[in-house]
Amino acid sequence: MWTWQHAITTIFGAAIFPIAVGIIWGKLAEEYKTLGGLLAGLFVVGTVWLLNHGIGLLYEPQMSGNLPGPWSDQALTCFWGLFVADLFAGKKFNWEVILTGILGGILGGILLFATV
Amino acid sequence: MNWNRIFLGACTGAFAGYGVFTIWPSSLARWSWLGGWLAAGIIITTGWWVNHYLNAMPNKNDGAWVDMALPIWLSSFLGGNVQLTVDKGLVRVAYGVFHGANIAGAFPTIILELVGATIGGFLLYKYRRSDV
Repeated sequence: MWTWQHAITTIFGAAIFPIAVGIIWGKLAEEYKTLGGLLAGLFVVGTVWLLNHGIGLLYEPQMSGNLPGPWSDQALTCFWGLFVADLFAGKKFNWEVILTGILGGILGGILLFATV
Repeated sequence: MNWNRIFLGACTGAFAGYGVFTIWPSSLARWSWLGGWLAAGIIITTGWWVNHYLNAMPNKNDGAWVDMALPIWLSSFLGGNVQLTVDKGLVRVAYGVFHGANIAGAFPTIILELVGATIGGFLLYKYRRSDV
């Protein structure tokens, strides 16, 4: 069951991921190019994942029971945080890439559905 | 609309989404929390190389950034999670919308994630303008 403690940890976990990605990732890619992506993958996504899902800042009570799901990953916070940060900065909707992302997600979902 | 770029980006996005929710649970089961950390380097890095470093997802300079996180989140939400276990082979560890999993159960998580991410995005925007 949701309590106010879960709400606090979930909101914090959701806020810290786009902040960490937005601040560090571009800098690592600029300084170390291709290898910067490896460092960012491990030290940004890996480390934040340990807190958000490994430890469980993001509360997901729907994952208990005999039909667990659907899983709502921290990825949503990364997409949404970086997206609204650019909207605040006055950038436009790029429908092409939005459609690409949605089609990619649907295809990935079909593949996961089809596996086992 | 460049449909070839859209389909290419959808394929690389699906690669990241499928990869995350098969490799990550498997790596976590095999090597515990360190496996969870390493999974990020195994799949997120490769996904970032193709999707963003080499720009398979067609982001433009004047458009609001759409991260490969969107197809990743949607993949698991729709298709659930699959784990390669040490002793039992491939098993399903979470169900998605395609299996009929109850969206309402995930609703509070999604809403609070969006609230937190909006706060984070606003702070990031302020940081980039250097007026925090």
